[in-house]
Amino acid sequence: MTTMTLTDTSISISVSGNFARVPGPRFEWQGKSSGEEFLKTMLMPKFLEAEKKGLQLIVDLDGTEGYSTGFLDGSFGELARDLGFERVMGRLQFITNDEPYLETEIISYMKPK
Amino acid sequence: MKKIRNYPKYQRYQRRRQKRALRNSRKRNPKSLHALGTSKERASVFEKGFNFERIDAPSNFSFVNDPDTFIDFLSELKMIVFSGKSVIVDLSDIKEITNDALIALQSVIQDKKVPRDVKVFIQQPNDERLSDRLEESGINEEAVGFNRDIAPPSSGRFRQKNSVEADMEKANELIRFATRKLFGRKMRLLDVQRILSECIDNTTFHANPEKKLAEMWWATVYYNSKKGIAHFSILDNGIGIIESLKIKFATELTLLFKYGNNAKLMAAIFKGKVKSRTGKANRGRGLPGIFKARSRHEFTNLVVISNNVFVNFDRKEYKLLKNSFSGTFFYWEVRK
Repeated sequence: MTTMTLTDTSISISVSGNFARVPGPRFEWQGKSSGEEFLKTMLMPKFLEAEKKGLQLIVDLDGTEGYSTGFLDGSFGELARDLGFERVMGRLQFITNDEPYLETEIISYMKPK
Repeated sequence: MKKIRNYPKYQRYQRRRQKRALRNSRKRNPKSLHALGTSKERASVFEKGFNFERIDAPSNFSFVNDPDTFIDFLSELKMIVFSGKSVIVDLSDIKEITNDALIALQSVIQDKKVPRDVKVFIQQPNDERLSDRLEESGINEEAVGFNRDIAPPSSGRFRQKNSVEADMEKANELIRFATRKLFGRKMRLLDVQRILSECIDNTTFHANPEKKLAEMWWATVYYNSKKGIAHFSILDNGIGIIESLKIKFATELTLLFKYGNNAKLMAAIFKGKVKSRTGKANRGRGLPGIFKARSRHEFTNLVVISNNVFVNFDRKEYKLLKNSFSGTFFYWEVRK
């Protein structure tokens, strides 16, 4: 399993390494490895930690079997709705070599409607 | 390396061996089900003993190729088994069979709404090639007849998975199976996983608006070795995409006024122009996500059937069906 990395400027987490190779649905009640679970157990705590330490949070989305919109919106979308789009975007970076279009897609979920 | 079980010579040998075993079994126990002779003879005995209804399967036994006739067949079958009557599904005269039809048949046979004492007897196709295909799917006539417990296949060219939960890992096993057959090794198919995940997410969330995790999803893949194509399909027997939007009468009126008919409404849903039934701005993005994934060409020939709408995206065909399918069905292909 890939470990979370901490450098002088950033904290990195990997969805496939630290959470699930096959990301699940939107809500926890729907099934395992959900976006809600990812938000609660990993994304939110690591984001708050990065914020506290004044670091960037880098989320590596590569290496999974593929995402559903429910997972992405249920995690990243909810994070932005909870904390505010500007606050989150100022501290969050993505690695999306497998699916380069994911970053644009996630940002569209995070933007307030 | 080609496995020995795939050689025609070995398959012929196995067929002869099975026939010999059947003959011996009949000699040993003349009162067994096998002793009743052909599938047709057994069916007639069951019919007398259990007062079965009989339903003829359409000769083109395919959801994707002949949706109107197949929906008609499915509706009739559902009506019989849901009302608590046992049934003989007569497949003897079918000329074609596809895996999507088999999984749809299985989804009805094993539906929770079917009372426990209902028996479903499958009369095998006369065509040996089609009969083999049916066997390969795990729909074994004896198992189906007595407890409707269909064993999923563990070898061959057919795989199926089902669950009430959004178990994406289970669905992913179909991709691993297909890529091993297609490319000789496990590979990721990110857009195929996306279709499966979106459909499963929708089934667990929208297919039954009154109860959580009430509907089951059924997914299958069939590998056609001659053509080098993996045929995927996934379905549920929920309320369907269009009907899930029309839960409220006012919404139904608005949608009808704005889009005219269900085919146009379906086109708008896939293009992301219609809000989800939840009314929330951040919802209703799954189906447009599948529509966008098409442009990346990982899969082809995407077909969607839900309620009375048939969509073939490659042919840009959005048409109204004569019969309505209560549920949602997706079909697509992955080629070598």
